[in-house]
Amino acid sequence: MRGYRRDPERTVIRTLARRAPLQGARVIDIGCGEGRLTRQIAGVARSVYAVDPDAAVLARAIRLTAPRLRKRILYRPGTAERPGVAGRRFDVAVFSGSL
Amino acid sequence: MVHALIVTRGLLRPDGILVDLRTDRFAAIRTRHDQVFCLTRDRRRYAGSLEIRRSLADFRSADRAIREVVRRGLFRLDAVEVFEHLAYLDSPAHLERAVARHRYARLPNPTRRRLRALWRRHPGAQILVVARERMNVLVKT
Repeated sequence: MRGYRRDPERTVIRTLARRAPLQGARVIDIGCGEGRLTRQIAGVARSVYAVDPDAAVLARAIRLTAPRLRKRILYRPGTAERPGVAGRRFDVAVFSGSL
Repeated sequence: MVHALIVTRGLLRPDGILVDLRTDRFAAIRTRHDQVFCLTRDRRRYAGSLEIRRSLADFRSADRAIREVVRRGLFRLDAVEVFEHLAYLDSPAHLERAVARHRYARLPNPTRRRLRALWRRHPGAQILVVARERMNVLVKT
């Protein structure tokens, strides 16, 4: 939204990166919403598997993702109970307002 | 919620990290969260707070779930960090639009009135919304 700048200091991602080793990590973002934090994580992580139960919100997240980040982020419908990630293992799991 | 954390534990590698990031609702009650300011170059002028209509029960349930998985020895609580999360808006109208899009927030009339009065006195000032966030960091055991 124009005229609205949320967290321009990037406090959330900086705090997260200080507490969790995101560099080169495989991350699952549970309840990713429109993917604001997902995209920031993808800037440093090796890959991000982003799940959200709302298909419309996921579609918006995909539209908002820059082409350079699309190869690192896999958006999928899912929940914490049913993330749909059979066989995958992650270094970091993030619940951002979704627990 | 406990089940969700247990499922997530199964997705993590040994020593994997689970991060629970959310609004610090308990602090919110004490500090009147989220705070709205009129921001000029030299200072923040307090206008009031937003009303967050999300049930406190959700936050308490999440806290209980965290305590439970730690009690069961599934995770170790490695760190808790509370920090401020800032959002800047160009005008009260932008704040109105942002709040209208938000699922849980509402702009109470007293805050709206004070903000408009401050904006009239300081045209061109930014609107600042300060929220408190909490990050619980858990390590898989």
